Amino acid sequence: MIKFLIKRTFQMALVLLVVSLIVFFATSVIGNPVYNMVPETASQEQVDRVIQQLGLDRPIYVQYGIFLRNALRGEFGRSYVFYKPALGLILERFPATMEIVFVAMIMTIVFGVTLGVYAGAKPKSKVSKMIMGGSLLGISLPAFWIGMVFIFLFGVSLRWFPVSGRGPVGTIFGIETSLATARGWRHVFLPSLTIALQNIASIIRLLRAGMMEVMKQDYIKFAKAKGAGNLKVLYQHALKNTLIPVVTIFGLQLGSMIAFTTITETIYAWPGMGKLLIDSISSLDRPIVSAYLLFAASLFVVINFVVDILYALIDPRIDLN
Amino acid sequence: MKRFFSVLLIVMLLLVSITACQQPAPAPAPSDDNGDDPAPTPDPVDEGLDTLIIALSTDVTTWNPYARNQITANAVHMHVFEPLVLIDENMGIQPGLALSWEANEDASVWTIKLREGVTFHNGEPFTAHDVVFSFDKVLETGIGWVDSMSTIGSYRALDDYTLEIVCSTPDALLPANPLRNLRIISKNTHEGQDLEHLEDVVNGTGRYRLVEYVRDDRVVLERNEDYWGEKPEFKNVIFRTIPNEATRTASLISGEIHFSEVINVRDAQMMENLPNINVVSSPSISPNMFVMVQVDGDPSPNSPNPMVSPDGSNPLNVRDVREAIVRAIDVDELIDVVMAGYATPTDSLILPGSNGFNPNIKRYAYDPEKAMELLDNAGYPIQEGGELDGYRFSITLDHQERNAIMATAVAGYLERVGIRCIPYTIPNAVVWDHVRMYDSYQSHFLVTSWSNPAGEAAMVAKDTIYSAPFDQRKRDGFGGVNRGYYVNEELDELIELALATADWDERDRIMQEAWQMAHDDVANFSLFRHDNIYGVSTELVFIPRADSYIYAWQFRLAD
Repeated sequence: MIKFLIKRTFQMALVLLVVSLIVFFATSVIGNPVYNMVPETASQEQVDRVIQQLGLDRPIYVQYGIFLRNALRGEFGRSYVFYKPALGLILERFPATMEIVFVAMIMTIVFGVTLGVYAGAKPKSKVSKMIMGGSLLGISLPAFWIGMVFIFLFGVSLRWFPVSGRGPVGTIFGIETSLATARGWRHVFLPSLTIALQNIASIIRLLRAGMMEVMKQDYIKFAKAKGAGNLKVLYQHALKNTLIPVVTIFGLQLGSMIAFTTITETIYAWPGMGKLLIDSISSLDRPIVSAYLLFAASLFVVINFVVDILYALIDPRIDLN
Repeated sequence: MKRFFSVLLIVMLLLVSITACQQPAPAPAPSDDNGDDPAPTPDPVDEGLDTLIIALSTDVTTWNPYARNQITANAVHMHVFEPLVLIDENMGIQPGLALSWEANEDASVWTIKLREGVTFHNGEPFTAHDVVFSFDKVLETGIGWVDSMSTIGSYRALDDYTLEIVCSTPDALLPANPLRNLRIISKNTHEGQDLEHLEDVVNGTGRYRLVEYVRDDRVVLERNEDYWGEKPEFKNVIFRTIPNEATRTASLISGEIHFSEVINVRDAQMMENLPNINVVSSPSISPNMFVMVQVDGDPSPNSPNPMVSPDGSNPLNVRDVREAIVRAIDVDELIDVVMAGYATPTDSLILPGSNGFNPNIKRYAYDPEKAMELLDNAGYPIQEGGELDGYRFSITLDHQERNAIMATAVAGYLERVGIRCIPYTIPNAVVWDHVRMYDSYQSHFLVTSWSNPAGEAAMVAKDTIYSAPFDQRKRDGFGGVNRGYYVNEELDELIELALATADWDERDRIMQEAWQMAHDDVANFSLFRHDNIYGVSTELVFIPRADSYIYAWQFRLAD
C-alpha cells in the first residue's frame, strides 16, 4: 500500500508538471493581454509600463520559472481582470460550483443506480424500454438545449423555479452555501438536474449492460434458489459485481462536473468556477487560466486516485500494487 | 461493502430530512436577494417597489475605479464614485464634485473650484486633497485610464476647495476628459494601502453606497441619504450579472428582474407582444468606423490575407477608390435587412449635437454606377484571366465577431462593383493585438467603432484622423486609432488649434472645417451606429441616455 502511495504521488507530480508546461506555454502564445487592458489610444510608452508591471517583458523561460516557483508556494499571480490573487478567486467560487455538483451527484447515484438496476434486471419489461429510450435522449441532448428548455418550461411557463442566479446563502459547518436555505434549493434544482441528466443516462446504460451480464451467472441463480430476497439479490449480489466500470466512469464524470460546468453555469448565470474559466479565456486572463487548469488537473488526479482505492474496496481480488 | 452502502444511505437520509425540514417554509417569490443579509428583500410583485433589479451582460469585475475602462463597469461605478464633471442625458457637461472650472487663454492652466459640504460614504468630508490623491493613484496604477492624464503636466491643491491643473500641452477639453472620467476616491481611506485595498474598501461620494458585491453575480446598492444633490427615487438597487442573452430575456419575462440591457433583435420582436414588458431602443454613441490603410506599397505586410491588385499598387491609397467603396454600400437596405431596423445611419464619426458637428457633411450616397466609374477612372478596371479574373482587386475586411454579419453584407456590396472582398473575423481574445498600430500591420481594411461620449469633435479627431505616418508615429498621444495611417499636416494644425481653443463656438467652427477636410479626403467612413435595445418591466419608465450609460436614476415608477 505504501509503495502504491509513493508511486502514485510521484506520478501525480509528473502529470502536474507536464500540465503546467502545456498550460503556461499555451496561454502565453495567444495574444497579448496588455492590449485588452489598456485603452485603444494608449501610447507605446504607457503600454510598455503595464507590460513591465505585469512582468511580461522577461523571456518566456524566466517567466515560466517564476510561475513554477510561485505555483509551488500556492501563488498564481494576480488576475488581470479582477485584480485579486487567482487561486483565491477560484476557491471563492468553489462552493457555488460544488453545491450544484453535489446535488447533481446525488441525483446521478439515486436515479442512475435504481433505474439502471431495474432496466438490467427486467430488460424486457415496458418500463425498462421506456427507461432505455429516456436514457438515449439524456445522452444525446446537449446541456445548453436542455437548460434553455428547463428555463422556459419550469421558469417562464410554470414558474415553479427561479430562472437564474444563485439563491440566498446560509451556513452549514462554516461553509456558505445556498443548500442551507429553502429558497437556495429552488435555485439549485434546475442547474443540478441539467448537469445530472447526461450522467444519469450514461450510468443507466452502463449498469444495465453489466446487470444483464451478471444476472445470467450461476451464483445469482444460486442466491435465488437459496431464497434470498429479490432486492438483496439485485443490490447486494448482482450490483456489487457490476460496479467497477461504473465507479470508473462516475469518477471521471465527477471531475468534469466540478471542473467544466461552464455551459450550465453560463445559462443559469450561476457564479461558479466554470463561468470564471470561460470569461478568463476570452479576456486572456493568464493567471486565472493557468491556476484553473492546474486546479482541474489536480482534481482529476486525486479523483482517479480515490477511484483506484475504491476498486480494491469493491473487489478484493484487485491488488493495488 | 455493507458499511459503504449504509453510510451512503445515512448521508442521503440526512439530506432528505434537511430538505423536508425546510419544505414547510413559505416559498417566497422567486427573487434573488440574500435573506440573511441586512439588504432588503426585493419582491417584484410587491406594490411599493423600492428595489430596482437591473440585469447586465457583464460583471463589474473590479472596484478599483482606475483599473478598467468598460462602459458597463463605468456606469455601475458612477453610482458609487463621482468624477469632478458630470455628463447629462444629452451629453451636456454639468458640475459634479467640481462647481466651476476656468482656463487661461490657451487652455493650459485650469483653476477648478470644488463643491463644499460633500461627504464620502464613511462621513469624511471631500476636499481637494482627495482629488490630488486620486490623480496620483491614476498615474501610479491606472491601467484602464493610463492615457487619460497624458495632457496633464502637474496639479496641486491651492486650498481645501481649489485645484490647479497645469497642462503639458494646451487642452481645452480637460473637463470632457479626464475630469469627466476620473472618479474620485478618499485619501484618508486608501493612503498607504495596496491595490487590493481598493477592491475591498469601497468609499465614494455617489448617490448609492455599496452594500454587497458577489463577483459575477450581483452588486447590491443602497441610497446614500447624505447625497449632496437630488436623491434618486429607488432606495435599493441590485445589478445582476446574467451573461446569456436568452436567460436575461427569460428572467425579465418571469418577473425576476425589472430591466435587461442588450436584448437581441429576435427577442425584442417577441417581447413587443408581451403585456408586462416594454421594449425601448435608442441609438448608441458608437458609430462604426471603417478605415483603409493609405500608403504606397503593401499596406498590410503581416496580414494572413494580403491585398491583391493587378500592378501591386495599393488601390486604397487612391482617394476616388475610397469614395467608390463608400458609394458601393446601400446603408439603408443594410440596416433594414441585416440590423432589422435597429440601427441609425451616420454621416461621419461626429454625431449630431456634438461640438464640431458639420450638418453639410453627408456620407457619399449609394450609387454603384458612379462607384464603378470612379474605379475605372482610377486605373482599376475589371481584370480578365489570371488570379483576379472578373475583379478589379482583392481586399480583406477585418472585423470583430459581433460585426460578422454586417461585414459579410458589406463584402457582398463590394463584389457587385467588382472588388473582391473577403470578410475576416478576428477572434475576440486577440482583437486588440490584431489592430494595434505600429506593431501588428495586419489589416488594410478594418471596421471597429469609435464613441464620443463627451460630444467633442476635437477629441475624436485627435484620436482618429490626426496624422499617423506609416513607419513612425508623428506625435505621442495623437492619432492613436488612426488605423488607416491617414496623413494631412494641414488638418493636424486645425486639430491642435481646436485643442487650444477654450471658446466653444470658435472650437465648433474650427472642427467643422477640419471634418470637412477629412470627409473630402475620405480619411475614414462610418455607415451607422447600432441601437441599444432594452427590455423594461411595465411597472417602470426608463429614459435612455445619449451616452448609453445605465443609471438607476434613469428609472421611475410608471403611473
